[in-house]
Amino acid sequence: MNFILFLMRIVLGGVFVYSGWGKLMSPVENFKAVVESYQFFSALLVKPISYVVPWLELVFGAFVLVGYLTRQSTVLLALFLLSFIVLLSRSLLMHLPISECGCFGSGIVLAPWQALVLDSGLFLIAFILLKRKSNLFSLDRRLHR
Amino acid sequence: MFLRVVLSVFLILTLFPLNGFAKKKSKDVFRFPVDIKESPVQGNPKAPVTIVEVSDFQCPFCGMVQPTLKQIQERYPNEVKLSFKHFPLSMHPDAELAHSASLCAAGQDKFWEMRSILFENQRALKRDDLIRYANQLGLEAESFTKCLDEGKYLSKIEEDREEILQYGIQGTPAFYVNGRLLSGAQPYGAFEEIIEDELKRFKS
Repeated sequence: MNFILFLMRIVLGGVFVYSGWGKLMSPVENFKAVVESYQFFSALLVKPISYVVPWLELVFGAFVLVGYLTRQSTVLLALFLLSFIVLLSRSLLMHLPISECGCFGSGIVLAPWQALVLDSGLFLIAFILLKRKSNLFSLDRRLHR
Repeated sequence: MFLRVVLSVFLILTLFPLNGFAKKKSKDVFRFPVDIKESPVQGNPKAPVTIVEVSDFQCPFCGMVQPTLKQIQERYPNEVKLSFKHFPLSMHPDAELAHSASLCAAGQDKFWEMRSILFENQRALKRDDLIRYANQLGLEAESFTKCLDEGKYLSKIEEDREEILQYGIQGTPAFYVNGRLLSGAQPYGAFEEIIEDELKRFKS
């Protein structure tokens, strides 16, 4: 069971590291265009969100990957996933003209419904990790947290 | 401790947007000397504003910005001309072949038409798809297929890529408006601001 939880941590952290990295490797205006396409945030918020979210994904994805501040980082990623699920569901219900979720920069191309399925699965993983503690192969264990 | 980490990360990140806030006027900006002599051009050849599109046919953001470019061409039919530089990214496995196809189509004077089809079909860029698009455009099938399979224009793609890399661009799309860089899938307003600035400079 511990090893399965470890694999789940790797998957969750790895996806967020890839997602953040993919966005940071593209011009920031690309992610800004994605955020605008969801027609949810005011114009004032779009720019700071575009700059900050990819870095948060990368940093806290890396924390989960190596098992540092695991619980806190998992909570943050779970909150991200919940907000992505809400945004994606809303975009599908409102039939917004979004052909690509913008989740991974220019890398993997996912339609909003595909991203919704992925994020729901990742949220379940985050939920399980929070419910069942495991610090197998984690930095927290080395640091005795 | 965790709050300290979050706060530190947030404070560092707030430094990043600061360099984007200053508005630059045309006389203060740096202009990249992008060479379009061997590149296709669409629009009025005497137009004072040239937009060079640096693009990857498999890049979703490059596809996302196409309606904006169409809007620009409709709004400024005599003032703006469009050119194109090939910049397929290594993360997109079908991009290089798609760019080859566009150049093979260019060999039969159908570059811009093929470019439109490729951006409309970004999820279908395999060899058979490209040959089907060539048939749709009425291209001479045998010479198109030979051109595609032999990689006749791979060196041209590489030349464009090398030129753009030397300007520090690593992601797509990117645009040079009279040499002024606009990176990413910018909204219409961002293009309009620079175009109007360039037109003022041209008239003065």
